[in-house]
Amino acid sequence: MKDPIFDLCHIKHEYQEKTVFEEDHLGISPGTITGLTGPNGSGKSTLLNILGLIIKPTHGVVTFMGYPVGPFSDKARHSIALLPQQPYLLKRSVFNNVAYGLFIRKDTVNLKHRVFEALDAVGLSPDQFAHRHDHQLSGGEARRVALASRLVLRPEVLLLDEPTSHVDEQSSRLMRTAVLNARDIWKTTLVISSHDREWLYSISDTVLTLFRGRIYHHGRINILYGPWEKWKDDLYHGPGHDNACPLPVPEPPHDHAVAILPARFLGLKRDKDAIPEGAFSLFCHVTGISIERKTKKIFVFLMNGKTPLISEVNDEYLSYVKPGMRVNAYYYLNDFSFS
Amino acid sequence: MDFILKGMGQALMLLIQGDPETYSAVGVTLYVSSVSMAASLLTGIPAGFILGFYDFRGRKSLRLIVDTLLALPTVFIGLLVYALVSSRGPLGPLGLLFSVPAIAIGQTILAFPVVTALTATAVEGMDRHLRPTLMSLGASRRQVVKSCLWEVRYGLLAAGVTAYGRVMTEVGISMMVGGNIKWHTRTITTAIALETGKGMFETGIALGMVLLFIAFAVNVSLSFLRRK
Repeated sequence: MKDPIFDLCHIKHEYQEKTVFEEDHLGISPGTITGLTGPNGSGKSTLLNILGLIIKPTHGVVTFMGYPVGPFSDKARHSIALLPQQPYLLKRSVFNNVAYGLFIRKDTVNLKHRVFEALDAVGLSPDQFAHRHDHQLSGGEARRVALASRLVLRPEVLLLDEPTSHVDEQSSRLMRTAVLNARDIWKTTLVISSHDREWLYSISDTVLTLFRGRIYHHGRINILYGPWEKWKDDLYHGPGHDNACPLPVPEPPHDHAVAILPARFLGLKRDKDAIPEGAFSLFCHVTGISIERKTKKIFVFLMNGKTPLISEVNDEYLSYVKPGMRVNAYYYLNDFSFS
Repeated sequence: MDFILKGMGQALMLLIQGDPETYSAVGVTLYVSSVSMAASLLTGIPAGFILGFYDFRGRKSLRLIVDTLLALPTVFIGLLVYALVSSRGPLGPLGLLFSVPAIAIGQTILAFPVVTALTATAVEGMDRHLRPTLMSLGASRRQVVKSCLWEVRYGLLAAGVTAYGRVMTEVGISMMVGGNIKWHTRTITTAIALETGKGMFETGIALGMVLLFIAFAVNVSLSFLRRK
């Protein structure tokens, strides 16, 4: 295994005396795509800001290619580019926005060609857009310009915070293609946070699930969280399950415990098929299907009320599981663990 | 009403014919205001940037002081500079009293809080995503500062124009520490005050028109720059 390009040791970041991110050790291998998933406020943006050297963690050390680094570190600032969740365009033309990073690196050889190439990569015609001003762009176009201004730098590490949120389907598709090209052509290491689970799972080598500022597991898991309410017997359920189809868990050790169910332990049956004995079942709607890039494992994305779930299935399911259909998901209580 | 219209007509004649006394006052005004503006911009912009950009202990108190100084009366600054440069003051040996440099010192003190406070306001109003965006593109500390200043350039222009307006139109400082000496320290405003006192409205109005014209020219140039 290659040495990690990023190594985070004993990281803890506090904001207004509250811990917003904490991780004992995290290594990111070069040339890989790491996906970050988790609800809002789970620490994804904080982790990306730490990796992007925008903020210095309150405690701990970040090393990049073996060197301890922090904000404005000369060892790393020209190798890492971050596309923030709300990218800001400078008050100048599209061309100068895209060229800004090259200007500050004093790397202006073949400037026009490189800027035009980056605009092309995100699906913006250079002839139409290069001379427009920042205020003459739609939200999706501005986001694509922001991505182009990172791609033009050909960074060793590209960090993307919700790159496809609040953009139309076409912009989203073009941005995804541009990001994958960066990985395939320039061997860029990517760390991407996204609520688009299907896409994230389909392109990532590793998916990290974050919750309440902690990385819970490496891999595809379902996370259920409290506050827990007693349902019946020794069974409990979390918030948002007071409908006819709750998702019961065994007794949690405390009110803020997080229940974890690996995707491979959430089975699927057709609406009319019988559920194995001893298993709990619940009706879910299929929202998407994804095939893991490396392992070719198949994941089905489900919604149970407002709770997103993920199930790992065999290829036999592909013949009948379709997005939009209702299925029976089932699991055994003893497959849950608490953290 | 007649004497005003007559005054305006004669004012035009004075300007067209190149009246040396009028042009001497214009020259002194332009020179001294340029020196004081250069000094106040060079010190006020960095001070305003620090005040608006960084969070440090005592920042709010400092901001309050700078905002209070916006209302500094020109005669008070005149008095202060007089005390500094008069023979009994610490700068007495330099012999600056009733000289153009003394007016420049006073006008710099007048313009500094204006430039500082308005720069700080412009920097405070900067988009909070700007700094992380610049850092995310690999900018160094110095490049972040330079780019931030460029992003708030219109705010800085407004600060400069406002300060220039105060400097050009003040009378108290020029009169007290300049002494209104003909051919030497007489500025447009002190000349207007003198000529009006003597009943010479034509010269006063001519000088007033020049003052207005300079203000107009400055604003037209800045508006052109802004459009560029």
